[in-house]
Amino acid sequence: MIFKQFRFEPLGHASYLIGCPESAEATIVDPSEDLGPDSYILEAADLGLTITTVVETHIHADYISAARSLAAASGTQLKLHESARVAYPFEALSDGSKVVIGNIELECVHTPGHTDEHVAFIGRDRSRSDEDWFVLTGDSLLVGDVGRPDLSTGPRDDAEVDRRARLLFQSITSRLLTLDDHVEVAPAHFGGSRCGGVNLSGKAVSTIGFERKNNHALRASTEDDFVRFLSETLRPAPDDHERIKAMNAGAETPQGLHDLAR
Amino acid sequence: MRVPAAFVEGHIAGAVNLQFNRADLAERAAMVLPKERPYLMVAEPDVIARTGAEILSAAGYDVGGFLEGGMAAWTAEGLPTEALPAVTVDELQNRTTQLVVIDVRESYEFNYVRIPGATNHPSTQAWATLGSLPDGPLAIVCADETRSAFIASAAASIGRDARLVRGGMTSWLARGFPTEGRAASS
Repeated sequence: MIFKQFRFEPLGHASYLIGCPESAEATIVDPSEDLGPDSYILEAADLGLTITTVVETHIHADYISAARSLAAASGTQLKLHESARVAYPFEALSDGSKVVIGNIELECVHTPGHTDEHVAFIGRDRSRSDEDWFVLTGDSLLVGDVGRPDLSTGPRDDAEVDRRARLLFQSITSRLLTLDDHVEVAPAHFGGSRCGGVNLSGKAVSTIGFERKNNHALRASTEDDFVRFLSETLRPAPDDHERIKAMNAGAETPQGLHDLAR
Repeated sequence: MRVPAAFVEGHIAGAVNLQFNRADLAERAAMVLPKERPYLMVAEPDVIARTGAEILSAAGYDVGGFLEGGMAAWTAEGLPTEALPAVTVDELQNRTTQLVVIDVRESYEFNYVRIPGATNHPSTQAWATLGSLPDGPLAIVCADETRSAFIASAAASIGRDARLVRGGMTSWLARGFPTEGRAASS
Protein backbone atom coordinates (compact mmCIF):
# COMPACT_ATOMS: atom_id res chain seq x y z
CA MET A 1 0.00 0.00 0.00
CA ILE A 2 0.96 3.63 -0.31
CA PHE A 3 0.57 5.84 2.73
CA LYS A 4 1.62 9.45 2.33
CA GLN A 5 1.23 12.19 4.89
CA PHE A 6 1.04 15.75 3.55
CA ARG A 7 2.01 18.31 6.15
CA PHE A 8 1.23 21.99 6.01
CA GLU A 9 3.54 23.24 8.74
CA PRO A 10 2.22 26.81 9.24
CA LEU A 11 -1.13 25.41 10.44
CA GLY A 12 0.16 22.10 11.82
CA HIS A 13 -2.26 20.31 9.51
CA ALA A 14 -1.82 16.77 8.16
CA SER A 15 -3.75 15.27 5.25
CA TYR A 16 -3.29 11.84 3.71
CA LEU A 17 -3.09 9.91 0.48
CA ILE A 18 -3.92 6.23 0.93
CA GLY A 19 -3.39 4.20 -2.23
CA CYS A 20 -3.36 0.68 -3.63
CA PRO A 21 -0.70 0.19 -6.32
CA GLU A 22 -2.46 -2.92 -7.64
CA SER A 23 -5.77 -1.23 -8.36
CA ALA A 24 -3.97 2.11 -9.07
CA GLU A 25 -6.54 3.93 -6.92
CA ALA A 26 -6.17 6.41 -4.10
CA THR A 27 -8.27 8.21 -1.55
CA ILE A 28 -7.41 11.60 -0.08
CA VAL A 29 -8.30 12.32 3.54
CA ASP A 30 -8.81 15.88 4.86
CA PRO A 31 -7.24 17.84 1.93
CA SER A 32 -6.60 21.56 2.39
CA GLU A 33 -6.73 24.58 0.09
CA ASP A 34 -3.38 25.69 1.52
CA LEU A 35 -1.80 22.88 -0.50
CA GLY A 36 -4.54 23.06 -3.14
CA PRO A 37 -6.31 20.29 -5.08
CA ASP A 38 -3.65 20.22 -7.82
CA SER A 39 -0.92 19.17 -5.41
CA TYR A 40 -2.91 16.06 -4.39
CA ILE A 41 -3.80 15.26 -8.01
CA LEU A 42 -0.18 15.56 -9.20
CA GLU A 43 1.17 13.61 -6.24
CA ALA A 44 -1.29 10.78 -6.92
CA ALA A 45 -0.37 10.85 -10.62
CA ASP A 46 3.35 10.68 -9.72
CA LEU A 47 2.55 7.48 -7.84
CA GLY A 48 0.59 6.09 -10.81
CA LEU A 49 -2.68 6.39 -8.89
CA THR A 50 -6.05 7.89 -9.74
CA ILE A 51 -8.04 9.60 -6.99
CA THR A 52 -11.31 7.68 -6.69
CA THR A 53 -12.52 8.89 -3.28
CA VAL A 54 -12.21 11.98 -1.12
CA VAL A 55 -13.14 11.75 2.56
CA GLU A 56 -13.10 14.08 5.54
CA THR A 57 -12.96 13.13 9.19
CA HIS A 58 -15.17 16.14 10.00
CA ILE A 59 -16.04 19.69 8.93
CA HIS A 60 -12.93 21.66 9.82
CA ALA A 61 -12.84 25.02 11.58
CA ASP A 62 -9.16 25.89 11.34
CA TYR A 63 -8.29 25.65 7.64
CA ILE A 64 -10.11 25.87 4.34
CA SER A 65 -10.93 22.41 3.09
CA ALA A 66 -10.16 21.34 -0.50
CA ALA A 67 -12.43 18.31 -0.24
CA ARG A 68 -15.14 19.67 -2.53
CA SER A 69 -12.80 21.18 -5.13
CA LEU A 70 -10.67 18.03 -5.20
CA ALA A 71 -13.70 15.73 -5.49
CA ALA A 72 -15.03 17.88 -8.37
CA ALA A 73 -11.67 17.94 -10.19
CA SER A 74 -11.30 14.17 -9.75
CA GLY A 75 -14.85 13.43 -10.86
CA THR A 76 -15.66 11.71 -7.58
CA GLN A 77 -17.93 12.45 -4.65
CA LEU A 78 -16.98 13.53 -1.17
CA LYS A 79 -17.78 11.17 1.72
CA LEU A 80 -18.72 12.46 5.17
CA HIS A 81 -20.46 11.03 8.20
CA GLU A 82 -24.24 10.90 7.75
CA SER A 83 -24.75 13.44 10.57
CA ALA A 84 -22.76 16.20 8.77
CA ARG A 85 -24.81 19.39 8.39
CA VAL A 86 -23.61 20.92 5.14
CA ALA A 87 -25.19 22.81 2.25
CA TYR A 88 -23.85 20.53 -0.52
CA PRO A 89 -24.43 16.90 -1.53
CA PHE A 90 -22.15 14.17 -0.18
CA GLU A 91 -22.02 10.39 0.14
CA ALA A 92 -23.04 9.42 3.66
CA LEU A 93 -20.84 7.18 5.80
CA SER A 94 -22.10 5.54 8.96
CA ASP A 95 -20.34 3.78 11.80
CA GLY A 96 -18.85 0.57 10.35
CA SER A 97 -19.00 1.73 6.69
CA LYS A 98 -15.94 0.74 4.68
CA VAL A 99 -14.14 2.86 2.14
CA VAL A 100 -12.42 0.36 -0.16
CA ILE A 101 -9.40 1.31 -2.27
CA GLY A 102 -8.18 -1.88 -3.99
CA ASN A 103 -6.61 -4.00 -1.25
CA ILE A 104 -6.99 -1.25 1.32
CA GLU A 105 -9.97 -0.90 3.61
CA LEU A 106 -10.75 2.16 5.75
CA GLU A 107 -13.39 1.37 8.35
CA CYS A 108 -15.38 4.38 9.51
CA VAL A 109 -15.66 4.74 13.30
CA HIS A 110 -18.03 7.43 14.52
CA THR A 111 -16.02 9.39 17.13
CA PRO A 112 -18.02 12.50 18.09
CA GLY A 113 -16.52 15.07 20.47
CA HIS A 114 -14.41 17.59 18.59
CA THR A 115 -17.54 17.82 16.39
CA ASP A 116 -20.69 15.71 16.26
CA GLU A 117 -20.04 14.35 12.76
CA HIS A 118 -16.43 13.39 13.51
CA VAL A 119 -15.20 9.99 12.32
CA ALA A 120 -11.91 8.12 12.48
CA PHE A 121 -10.83 5.54 9.90
CA ILE A 122 -9.20 2.24 10.86
CA GLY A 123 -6.86 1.21 8.05
CA ARG A 124 -6.07 -2.32 6.88
CA ASP A 125 -4.06 -3.66 3.95
CA ARG A 126 -5.75 -6.96 3.13
CA SER A 127 -2.92 -7.96 0.79
CA ARG A 128 -0.81 -8.32 3.95
CA SER A 129 -3.19 -8.99 6.82
CA ASP A 130 -6.74 -8.48 8.04
CA GLU A 131 -5.32 -6.89 11.19
CA ASP A 132 -5.78 -3.20 11.98
CA TRP A 133 -2.62 -1.36 10.89
CA PHE A 134 -3.27 2.34 11.42
CA VAL A 135 -6.01 4.73 12.40
CA LEU A 136 -6.64 8.15 10.89
CA THR A 137 -7.87 9.95 13.98
CA GLY A 138 -8.69 13.41 12.58
CA ASP A 139 -9.13 15.72 15.59
CA SER A 140 -10.09 13.07 18.15
CA LEU A 141 -6.93 11.43 19.50
CA LEU A 142 -3.84 13.51 18.68
CA VAL A 143 -0.17 12.88 19.45
CA GLY A 144 0.26 13.86 23.11
CA ASP A 145 -3.15 15.52 23.19
CA VAL A 146 -6.80 15.41 22.09
CA GLY A 147 -8.91 17.64 19.83
CA ARG A 148 -10.50 20.69 21.42
CA PRO A 149 -14.24 20.45 22.15
CA ASP A 150 -15.21 24.12 21.86
CA LEU A 151 -14.87 25.35 18.27
CA SER A 152 -17.86 26.71 16.36
CA THR A 153 -20.22 26.85 19.29
CA GLY A 154 -20.78 30.56 18.83
CA PRO A 155 -19.93 32.57 21.95
CA ARG A 156 -18.34 30.26 24.51
CA ASP A 157 -21.02 27.89 25.70
CA ASP A 158 -19.89 25.89 28.73
CA ALA A 159 -22.73 23.38 28.56
CA GLU A 160 -21.88 22.60 24.93
CA VAL A 161 -18.16 22.29 25.70
CA ASP A 162 -19.04 19.92 28.55
CA ARG A 163 -21.30 17.82 26.32
CA ARG A 164 -18.66 17.54 23.60
CA ALA A 165 -15.80 16.83 25.99
CA ARG A 166 -17.81 13.91 27.43
CA LEU A 167 -18.48 12.55 23.93
CA LEU A 168 -14.76 12.93 23.11
CA PHE A 169 -13.78 10.96 26.22
CA GLN A 170 -16.17 8.14 25.30
CA SER A 171 -15.06 8.13 21.65
CA ILE A 172 -11.38 7.96 22.55
CA THR A 173 -11.57 5.48 25.42
CA SER A 174 -14.22 3.13 24.04
CA ARG A 175 -13.51 3.28 20.28
CA LEU A 176 -9.82 4.14 19.80
CA LEU A 177 -7.84 3.05 22.87
CA THR A 178 -9.48 -0.39 22.50
CA LEU A 179 -7.37 -0.95 19.36
CA ASP A 180 -4.14 -2.98 19.57
CA ASP A 181 -0.98 -1.31 20.87
CA HIS A 182 0.84 -1.50 17.54
CA VAL A 183 -1.86 0.40 15.60
CA GLU A 184 -0.37 3.63 14.25
CA VAL A 185 -2.09 6.91 15.05
CA ALA A 186 -2.18 9.35 12.13
CA PRO A 187 -3.94 12.57 13.21
CA ALA A 188 -5.09 15.66 11.29
CA HIS A 189 -3.04 17.97 13.52
CA PHE A 190 0.36 18.34 15.12
CA GLY A 191 2.72 21.01 16.40
CA GLY A 192 1.32 24.52 16.52
CA SER A 193 -2.18 23.60 15.34
CA ARG A 194 -4.98 25.60 16.87
CA CYS A 195 -7.16 22.48 17.04
CA GLY A 196 -5.20 20.81 19.81
CA GLY A 197 -4.43 21.63 23.41
CA VAL A 198 -1.37 22.48 25.50
CA ASN A 199 0.51 19.19 24.97
CA LEU A 200 0.23 18.66 21.23
CA SER A 201 3.44 17.06 19.94
CA GLY A 202 5.40 18.29 16.93
CA LYS A 203 5.61 14.63 15.87
CA ALA A 204 2.75 13.81 13.54
CA VAL A 205 2.56 10.02 14.04
CA SER A 206 2.37 7.76 17.08
CA THR A 207 0.86 4.43 18.14
CA ILE A 208 -2.18 3.52 20.22
CA GLY A 209 0.06 1.81 22.80
CA PHE A 210 2.32 4.85 23.22
CA GLU A 211 -0.60 7.29 23.52
CA ARG A 212 -2.49 5.04 25.95
CA LYS A 213 0.58 5.16 28.18
CA ASN A 214 1.84 8.72 27.66
CA ASN A 215 -0.93 11.02 26.39
CA HIS A 216 -1.26 13.72 29.03
CA ALA A 217 -4.97 14.43 28.45
CA LEU A 218 -5.74 10.73 28.95
CA ARG A 219 -4.07 10.55 32.36
CA ALA A 220 -7.41 11.72 33.75
CA SER A 221 -8.78 8.73 35.61
CA THR A 222 -12.46 9.56 35.09
CA GLU A 223 -14.63 11.27 32.53
CA ASP A 224 -15.19 14.16 34.97
CA ASP A 225 -11.43 14.64 35.43
CA PHE A 226 -10.95 14.62 31.67
CA VAL A 227 -13.70 17.22 31.14
CA ARG A 228 -12.24 19.42 33.90
CA PHE A 229 -8.72 19.15 32.45
CA LEU A 230 -9.92 20.12 28.97
CA SER A 231 -12.05 23.07 30.04
CA GLU A 232 -9.37 24.44 32.38
CA THR A 233 -6.63 24.26 29.76
CA LEU A 234 -8.62 25.52 26.76
CA ARG A 235 -6.74 28.08 24.74
CA PRO A 236 -8.69 31.06 23.42
CA ALA A 237 -10.49 30.05 20.24
CA PRO A 238 -9.02 31.43 17.01
CA ASP A 239 -11.19 34.41 16.00
CA ASP A 240 -11.90 33.27 12.43
CA HIS A 241 -13.02 29.70 13.21
CA GLU A 242 -16.75 30.42 12.74
CA ARG A 243 -16.15 31.93 9.31
CA ILE A 244 -13.87 29.06 8.19
CA LYS A 245 -16.29 26.42 9.44
CA ALA A 246 -19.17 28.16 7.65
CA MET A 247 -17.18 28.17 4.39
CA ASN A 248 -16.31 24.50 4.77
CA ALA A 249 -19.96 23.64 5.37
CA GLY A 250 -20.98 25.56 2.25
CA ALA A 251 -22.86 28.19 4.29
CA GLU A 252 -22.55 31.86 3.38
CA THR A 253 -22.08 33.11 6.93
CA PRO A 254 -21.67 31.82 10.49
CA GLN A 255 -25.43 32.48 10.92
CA GLY A 256 -26.03 30.24 7.90
CA LEU A 257 -23.95 27.57 9.61
CA HIS A 258 -26.11 27.71 12.72
CA ASP A 259 -29.24 27.49 10.56
CA LEU A 260 -27.83 24.32 8.93
CA ALA A 261 -27.29 22.80 12.35
CA ARG A 262 -30.94 23.21 13.28
CA MET B 1 -0.43 9.93 -19.86
CA ARG B 2 -3.42 8.37 -18.15
CA VAL B 3 -3.04 5.22 -16.05
CA PRO B 4 -2.83 2.06 -18.21
CA ALA B 5 -6.18 0.75 -16.90
CA ALA B 6 -7.94 3.83 -18.32
CA PHE B 7 -5.92 3.74 -21.57
CA VAL B 8 -6.90 0.07 -22.11
CA GLU B 9 -10.59 1.01 -21.93
CA GLY B 10 -10.39 3.67 -24.61
CA HIS B 11 -7.99 6.14 -26.18
CA ILE B 12 -7.60 8.22 -29.33
CA ALA B 13 -6.52 6.01 -32.23
CA GLY B 14 -2.74 6.05 -32.65
CA ALA B 15 -2.04 7.37 -29.14
CA VAL B 16 0.87 5.97 -27.15
CA ASN B 17 0.65 5.57 -23.39
CA LEU B 18 3.54 7.09 -21.44
CA GLN B 19 2.90 7.11 -17.70
CA PHE B 20 2.98 10.55 -16.05
CA ASN B 21 5.47 11.28 -13.28
CA ARG B 22 7.00 14.68 -12.57
CA ALA B 23 10.27 13.22 -11.31
CA ASP B 24 11.35 11.25 -14.37
CA LEU B 25 8.93 11.94 -17.24
CA ALA B 26 11.58 13.84 -19.23
CA GLU B 27 14.16 11.13 -18.59
CA ARG B 28 11.84 8.29 -19.62
CA ALA B 29 10.65 10.22 -22.67
CA ALA B 30 14.29 10.72 -23.74
CA MET B 31 14.73 6.94 -23.71
CA VAL B 32 11.63 6.05 -25.67
CA LEU B 33 10.05 8.98 -27.58
CA PRO B 34 11.55 10.25 -30.86
CA LYS B 35 11.96 14.03 -30.93
CA GLU B 36 11.25 14.47 -34.64
CA ARG B 37 7.46 14.25 -34.32
CA PRO B 38 4.95 16.60 -32.64
CA TYR B 39 2.97 15.55 -29.55
CA LEU B 40 -0.34 16.37 -27.94
CA MET B 41 -0.91 15.44 -24.28
CA VAL B 42 -3.97 13.59 -23.02
CA ALA B 43 -4.53 13.13 -19.27
CA GLU B 44 -7.14 13.79 -16.62
CA PRO B 45 -7.63 16.10 -14.85
CA ASP B 46 -6.22 18.95 -16.99
CA VAL B 47 -3.50 19.83 -14.50
CA ILE B 48 -1.72 16.54 -15.24
CA ALA B 49 -1.84 17.08 -19.02
CA ARG B 50 -0.70 20.70 -18.64
CA THR B 51 2.16 19.72 -16.35
CA GLY B 52 3.20 16.88 -18.69
CA ALA B 53 3.17 19.29 -21.66
CA GLU B 54 5.36 21.74 -19.72
CA ILE B 55 7.86 19.03 -18.74
CA LEU B 56 8.20 17.66 -22.29
CA SER B 57 8.41 21.14 -23.86
CA ALA B 58 11.19 22.03 -21.43
CA ALA B 59 12.94 18.79 -22.44
CA GLY B 60 12.96 19.92 -26.06
CA TYR B 61 9.91 18.10 -27.43
CA ASP B 62 7.55 19.69 -29.93
CA VAL B 63 4.38 19.76 -27.82
CA GLY B 64 1.29 21.27 -29.42
CA GLY B 65 -0.58 21.47 -26.11
CA PHE B 66 -3.04 19.25 -24.31
CA LEU B 67 -6.59 18.03 -24.84
CA GLU B 68 -8.76 20.23 -22.62
CA GLY B 69 -11.23 18.18 -20.60
CA GLY B 70 -9.37 14.97 -21.47
CA MET B 71 -11.08 11.85 -22.83
CA ALA B 72 -14.37 12.85 -21.18
CA ALA B 73 -14.53 15.92 -23.47
CA TRP B 74 -13.50 13.79 -26.46
CA THR B 75 -16.22 11.18 -25.97
CA ALA B 76 -18.80 13.88 -25.11
CA GLU B 77 -18.29 15.13 -28.68
CA GLY B 78 -19.14 11.65 -29.92
CA LEU B 79 -15.61 11.17 -31.28
CA PRO B 80 -14.36 7.59 -31.72
CA THR B 81 -12.02 5.80 -29.33
CA GLU B 82 -10.01 2.63 -29.57
CA ALA B 83 -9.41 0.02 -26.89
CA LEU B 84 -5.99 -1.49 -26.24
CA PRO B 85 -6.39 -5.26 -26.28
CA ALA B 86 -5.38 -6.87 -23.00
CA VAL B 87 -4.85 -10.38 -21.68
CA THR B 88 -4.93 -11.57 -18.07
CA VAL B 89 -2.10 -13.71 -16.68
CA ASP B 90 -4.59 -16.59 -16.32
CA GLU B 91 -5.50 -16.39 -20.02
CA LEU B 92 -1.83 -16.23 -20.89
CA GLN B 93 -1.01 -19.25 -18.71
CA ASN B 94 -3.90 -21.27 -20.19
CA ARG B 95 -2.73 -20.30 -23.68
CA THR B 96 -6.32 -19.90 -24.81
CA THR B 97 -4.80 -17.79 -27.60
CA GLN B 98 -1.37 -18.40 -29.11
CA LEU B 99 0.62 -15.29 -28.24
CA VAL B 100 4.31 -14.45 -28.52
CA VAL B 101 5.36 -13.15 -25.09
CA ILE B 102 7.50 -9.99 -25.33
CA ASP B 103 9.07 -8.95 -22.03
CA VAL B 104 9.97 -5.25 -22.18
CA ARG B 105 11.84 -5.01 -18.86
CA GLU B 106 15.60 -4.49 -18.78
CA SER B 107 17.84 -7.52 -19.31
CA TYR B 108 18.86 -7.78 -15.65
CA GLU B 109 15.21 -8.10 -14.62
CA PHE B 110 14.53 -10.54 -17.46
CA ASN B 111 17.56 -12.67 -16.48
CA TYR B 112 16.33 -12.90 -12.89
CA VAL B 113 12.80 -14.12 -13.51
CA ARG B 114 10.58 -14.36 -16.61
CA ILE B 115 7.65 -16.17 -18.19
CA PRO B 116 8.92 -19.39 -19.87
CA GLY B 117 9.58 -18.80 -23.57
CA ALA B 118 9.44 -15.00 -23.33
CA THR B 119 11.62 -12.82 -25.58
CA ASN B 120 13.37 -9.75 -24.18
CA HIS B 121 12.88 -6.39 -25.95
CA PRO B 122 13.80 -3.72 -23.35
CA SER B 123 11.47 -0.73 -23.51
CA THR B 124 14.44 1.64 -23.54
CA GLN B 125 15.30 0.48 -27.07
CA ALA B 126 11.69 0.25 -28.10
CA TRP B 127 11.19 2.80 -30.80
CA ALA B 128 14.24 1.64 -32.71
CA THR B 129 13.29 -2.03 -32.41
CA LEU B 130 9.51 -1.80 -32.93
CA GLY B 131 9.96 -2.93 -36.52
CA SER B 132 11.91 -6.02 -35.47
CA LEU B 133 9.33 -7.50 -33.11
CA PRO B 134 8.52 -11.14 -33.96
CA ASP B 135 5.56 -11.97 -36.21
CA GLY B 136 2.19 -13.04 -34.83
CA PRO B 137 -0.02 -11.68 -32.10
CA LEU B 138 2.06 -10.35 -29.19
CA ALA B 139 1.56 -10.34 -25.41
CA ILE B 140 3.56 -7.44 -23.91
CA VAL B 141 4.65 -7.78 -20.28
CA CYS B 142 6.72 -5.74 -17.80
CA ALA B 143 6.85 -5.65 -14.00
CA ASP B 144 3.45 -3.97 -13.73
CA GLU B 145 1.83 -2.15 -16.67
CA THR B 146 3.85 1.02 -17.08
CA ARG B 147 6.45 0.02 -19.66
CA SER B 148 4.24 -2.65 -21.26
CA ALA B 149 1.43 -0.16 -21.88
CA PHE B 150 3.91 2.11 -23.64
CA ILE B 151 5.24 -0.65 -25.92
CA ALA B 152 1.85 -2.26 -26.54
CA SER B 153 0.38 1.09 -27.52
CA ALA B 154 3.39 1.99 -29.68
CA ALA B 155 3.19 -1.40 -31.44
CA ALA B 156 -0.58 -1.02 -31.89
CA SER B 157 -0.01 2.45 -33.37
CA ILE B 158 2.00 0.86 -36.23
CA GLY B 159 -0.71 -1.73 -36.81
CA ARG B 160 0.56 -4.69 -34.74
CA ASP B 161 -1.73 -7.02 -32.79
CA ALA B 162 -0.18 -6.32 -29.37
CA ARG B 163 -1.93 -7.11 -26.09
CA LEU B 164 -1.14 -5.73 -22.68
CA VAL B 165 -0.57 -8.38 -19.99
CA ARG B 166 -2.67 -7.03 -17.10
CA GLY B 167 -0.79 -6.75 -13.81
CA GLY B 168 2.51 -7.83 -15.43
CA MET B 169 5.08 -10.07 -13.73
CA THR B 170 3.72 -9.00 -10.34
CA SER B 171 0.44 -10.77 -11.12
CA TRP B 172 2.16 -13.71 -12.82
CA LEU B 173 4.33 -14.32 -9.72
CA ALA B 174 1.43 -13.73 -7.32
CA ARG B 175 -0.52 -16.52 -9.08
CA GLY B 176 2.46 -18.86 -8.63
CA PHE B 177 2.77 -19.63 -12.36
CA PRO B 178 5.98 -21.26 -13.65
CA THR B 179 9.03 -19.13 -14.37
CA GLU B 180 12.49 -19.31 -15.91
CA GLY B 181 15.65 -17.47 -14.90
CA ARG B 182 18.12 -17.11 -12.03
CA ALA B 183 15.39 -16.84 -9.38
CA ALA B 184 14.04 -20.26 -10.37
CA SER B 185 17.46 -21.98 -10.26
CA SER B 186 18.72 -20.50 -6.99
